[in-house]
Amino acid sequence: MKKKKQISPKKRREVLTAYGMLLPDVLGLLVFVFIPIVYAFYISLHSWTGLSDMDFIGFGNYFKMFKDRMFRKSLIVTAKYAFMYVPCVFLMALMMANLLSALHKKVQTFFRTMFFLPYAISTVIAGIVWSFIYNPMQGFLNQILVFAGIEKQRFLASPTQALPSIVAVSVWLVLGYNTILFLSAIKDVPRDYYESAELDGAGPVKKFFSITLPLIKETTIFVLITCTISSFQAFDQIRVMTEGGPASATTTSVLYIYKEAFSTYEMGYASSLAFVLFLLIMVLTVLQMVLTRKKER
Amino acid sequence: MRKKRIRQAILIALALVLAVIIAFPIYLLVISALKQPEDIFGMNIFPPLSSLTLDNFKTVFSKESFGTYIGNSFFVATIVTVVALFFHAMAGYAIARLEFRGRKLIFSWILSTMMVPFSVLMIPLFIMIKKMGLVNNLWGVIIPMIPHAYGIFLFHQFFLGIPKELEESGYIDGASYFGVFRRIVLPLAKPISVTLAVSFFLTNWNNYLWPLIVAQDKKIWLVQIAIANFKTGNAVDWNLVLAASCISALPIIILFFVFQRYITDGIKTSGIKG
Repeated sequence: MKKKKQISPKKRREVLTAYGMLLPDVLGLLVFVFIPIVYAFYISLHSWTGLSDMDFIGFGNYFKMFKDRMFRKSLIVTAKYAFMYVPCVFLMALMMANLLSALHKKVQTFFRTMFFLPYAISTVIAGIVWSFIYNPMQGFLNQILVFAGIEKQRFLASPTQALPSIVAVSVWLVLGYNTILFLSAIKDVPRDYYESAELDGAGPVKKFFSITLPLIKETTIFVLITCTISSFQAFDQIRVMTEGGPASATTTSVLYIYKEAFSTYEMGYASSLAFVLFLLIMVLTVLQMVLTRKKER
Repeated sequence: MRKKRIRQAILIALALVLAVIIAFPIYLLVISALKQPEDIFGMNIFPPLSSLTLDNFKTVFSKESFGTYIGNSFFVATIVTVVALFFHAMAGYAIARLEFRGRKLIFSWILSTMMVPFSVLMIPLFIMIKKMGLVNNLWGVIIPMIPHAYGIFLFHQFFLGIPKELEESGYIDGASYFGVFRRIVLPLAKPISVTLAVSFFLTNWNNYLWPLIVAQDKKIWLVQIAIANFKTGNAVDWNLVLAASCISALPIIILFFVFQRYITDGIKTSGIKG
């Protein structure tokens, strides 16, 4: 035993170098990610405005959630958002990736760039531009509607139209990113699979459903779950376009948490809401890891 | 052959329609920012060049001290990018190549921090930064944005692919572990460094939620905060808002076109492993 514990000076230098190189990032993640989570849970057990003394109330905040109608509404809004956002991104990105992969190499790069362009735009600017386009008085979209003989719509100012209008912007922002994910997955499918299918007389539709789709399953799961997670975290565009209104029709969970924390200064309660959101997202992430790892084995 | 050509032509037409729809809002942003205030809502998508003006841009800089906000954003994004690149390269290398106890454990712990959504961190982070006296201070915006598992992961993947012989020749010449990393390994890591540098700069230039919480004072507003605040209120001055948006978006769009290959490479690597 003792002999094994003898460490050569060279080995010791390697270990010390490794710890030294890891130190800045590990310390950073510890202080700015790990400790804050523990701290968030600690705050969530208190009634606290951020200025006054912390008042320990156990799981009181968590019980309060069940009776909080605004919180329930924000969950419903978030769920609606996800139900529109996820299928739209998934289907459109998949379709666009297939379209790109069928294009000639020379034009493919050009169109990939064009589809990907909104990725460079910040969520704030996307919110600004689309508010301009959605403007209920004389926005571009309404002028087109009038031109087509349709009545003007209120879009972001309407409690029923605001959420779908925002979802459209969110989809526009991330479509290119997800298209590229699908495109690189499709490109990894071996060519000869298609060739032998063609010999068997399979058409493009058959080829898509029996070859492409099963072989890009991992990317599909990745896209579906990361999109669900990001719809649980939507904030920037919504705050810029509607600030959660009209009549809290677009107040998603994160917007509600933000308001509770930084407008109402209910730091304790907001932390408990954030913590519940965290658990929800963690379940989804673990689910994604389990589902995508299965295939590797 | 002819059938194939027709098919290709139809697909290109379809792609063209999609591309126009997708790029149109960005075009509308630029063209409207160049219009006179009175025809900002005009339906003329191709206005004559003579009717366009740079006045909106001038006003943004003279009236709104927009230069300061751009400077602030540039400072924040640059510092985060440079420091994060260096830290992540070191951490990624240590995990990929050096042997020490607890290596696997530390790596999984680092990766697990990717699961944490920012909305959970914002409240405790704000309180911590406040206690450090860094609210309304650019360093309060910068410091929490530096540690990030994604960069460590990508560097780790890259270093795994470097042939070990290169490093061994360095050790034979008597270089230290850190010396080999700095003089032999780091220069090889240029492509991955460019990918991450573009990604970090873009993310931090475009970041909204965290600066919104810590940078409330007008003097240290970042570009995104300033633009979002120009828009609030009932009477929105669209000329100024759109011109300001243009100024903030253009450098990023240029960056995007120049480094597009690196950005897509980064997406592919992150997508495969999740």
